[in-house]
Amino acid sequence: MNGAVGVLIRRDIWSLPPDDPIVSAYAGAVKRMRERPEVAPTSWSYQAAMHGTHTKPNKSLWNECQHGTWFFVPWHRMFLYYFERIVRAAVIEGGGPENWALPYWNYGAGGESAKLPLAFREPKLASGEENPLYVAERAEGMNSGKGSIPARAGSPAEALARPAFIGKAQFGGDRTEPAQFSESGGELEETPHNVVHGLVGGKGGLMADILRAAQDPIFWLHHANIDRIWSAWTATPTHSDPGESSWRGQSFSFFDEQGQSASLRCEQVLQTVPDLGYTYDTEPSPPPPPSAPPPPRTASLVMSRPERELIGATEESVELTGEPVTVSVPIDAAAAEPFGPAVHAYLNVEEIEGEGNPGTGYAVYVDLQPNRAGEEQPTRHAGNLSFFGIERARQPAGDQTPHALQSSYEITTVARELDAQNQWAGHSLRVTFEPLGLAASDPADVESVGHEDQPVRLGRISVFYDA
Amino acid sequence: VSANAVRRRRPTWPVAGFLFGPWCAQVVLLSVLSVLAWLLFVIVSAQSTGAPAQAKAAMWWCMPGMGIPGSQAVSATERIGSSLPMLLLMCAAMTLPGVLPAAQHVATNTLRRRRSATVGVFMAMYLLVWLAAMAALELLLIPLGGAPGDTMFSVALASAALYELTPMKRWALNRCHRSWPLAPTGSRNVTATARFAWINVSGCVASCGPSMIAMLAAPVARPLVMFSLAVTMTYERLARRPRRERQRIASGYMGIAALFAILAF
Repeated sequence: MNGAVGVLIRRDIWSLPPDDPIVSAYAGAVKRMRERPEVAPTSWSYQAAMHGTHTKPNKSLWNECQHGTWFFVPWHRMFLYYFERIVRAAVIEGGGPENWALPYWNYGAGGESAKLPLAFREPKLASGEENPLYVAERAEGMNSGKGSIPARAGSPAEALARPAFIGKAQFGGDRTEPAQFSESGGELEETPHNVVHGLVGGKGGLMADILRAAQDPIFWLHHANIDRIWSAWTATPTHSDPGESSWRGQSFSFFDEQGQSASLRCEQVLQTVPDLGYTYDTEPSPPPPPSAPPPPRTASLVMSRPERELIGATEESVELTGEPVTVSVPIDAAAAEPFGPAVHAYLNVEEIEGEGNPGTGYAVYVDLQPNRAGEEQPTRHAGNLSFFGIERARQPAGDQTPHALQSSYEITTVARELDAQNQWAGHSLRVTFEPLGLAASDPADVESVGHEDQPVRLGRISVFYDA
Repeated sequence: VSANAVRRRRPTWPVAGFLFGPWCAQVVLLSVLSVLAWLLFVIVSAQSTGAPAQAKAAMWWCMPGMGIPGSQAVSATERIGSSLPMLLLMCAAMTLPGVLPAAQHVATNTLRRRRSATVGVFMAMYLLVWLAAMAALELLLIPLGGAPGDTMFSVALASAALYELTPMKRWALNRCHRSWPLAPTGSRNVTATARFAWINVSGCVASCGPSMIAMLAAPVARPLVMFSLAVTMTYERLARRPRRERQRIASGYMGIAALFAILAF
């Protein structure tokens, strides 16, 4: 089905030398695709515009990417699949290997792997030619190789630990209609996907802009890694993709290497080897099972309350400009009792607004002990907050209605701990936002996390009970 | 491959999918009220059909500019005042279905103990603004005098069709979808809810105002026109691809306007 002979293997880019045929063939194919007429569906700019573009008027299948929706992972898997076929055809055209497959960037491995791969950093090749894989519009610390993706931003552990696919704070996102940018993304989409987009692009960079991100050649390796994480999540026996026909039967259209329109349904891309003919050289290790939260204080006396229920929210909005911020969310005593055994607690950051993606993400902590950094209290890490696509939420590019941006995090374990100490209902929950920039041995080597010129407003921070 | 050819093959979800899911009790109540408003409207319409002029006066709100026998001395203000109950009934029947998702948003983002009051504030603000807008539209139409004819309806509907394609319409429809952070308790809860209702209803009035004028100018079968418009407004508001639907609605309006223009001449 992949148009090549045998099962293709997508490899870790950091396991390959910069001059490996897979890498150099990719560079050659990018150059070849850039030379094609912009109206050709197999050209570089056309493929990037299928994800998103500022160019108007829309051409066929432009601005079709799926974000903030449960279609995020299947759409991008299909997109990469057809892109890989187009690139492979260009590789073969240039005399490259017939079994070429897209490499992936495993920044979550930490160390050197968390830095931008070497082949993407230099403006010129050894031959003196322009390096097709280099893009100047990236965060400075990325291209210099002095900055790296911090573990909190690049690790897929929290996404892999989510037990279910469907849900805002679950692995794959909540039910929505197909949309370029909806409001119900899952844990994988937030971290590492969104956060890495912002950190690689930095302020004003390609990767930080949802409508220009796919112009950067590293975009495709980043998404190959996201796709790999989905494969790993699915491989866990207790995990399963949605069974609903509205998800499985949803199809999306793309262009193949001949420039012909082709469609796939979500149910046709669930298994990479039998369905699409590729696999990965390694898959992320499944995370250790999460520690069980303390039992409910009054478990034997209360009934579960499965419906979504607001139990607390801030009165005023919060502005983020690159400094750590802590806010108190009053938990309503009447609404928070009883905290039944089947109930989960979720932290919501709602009505997020800003002019654009500042490139800085935030690590979100609950009940962080004062005077101690968040990194020292990993059990208090609820998740990350990033602003990939923020400019599109209120002003969607396609024929879609605007909406607010929001993020959800499950905080049941911390909530139960606080409940066991009688510090939950009727008290306030401290929520801390710590700026998340590129990691570097010398902070002067990477861009500042400050974004006073591009503040982001969080309209409300709330806590909900849900099933 | 043309864009349209590809797009035609793309699947779509039913618009009604927006409304599926667990509703709060307050939203269930609003949907029941919407149905009751329609039933009441149908009953009043049926009773006034063939009734003497005095009984028909209860329905004169949908006949702007039409003189009611024996009522020439009644001032415009009095006429509007006497028709307010029917205007409210009409606003409730026509706008409640489209506002249910927004009411659900208010309900789920409010503490349970304040939910009824908060949804009440939202709906009161929403209906009051619509009522004021409809009364204002009537006042504007009264000076035109006489029964609305095919020409007037045709012009009003053609104007509504053109309006569907303007940036102002897009802005207004987008405003219908804007949300606003709702403070959980106290006076801030009331002001934030009222603010959200204002954002919502001002968008709705700006979005549907021209269509409402066309409805008020309809010379025949006004209940049918009203029902058709209510369905159109709700569908447009919940449409997945609003630009495409606006274009379709504009085409439909223009077709009907052309038909009435032909009848007029």
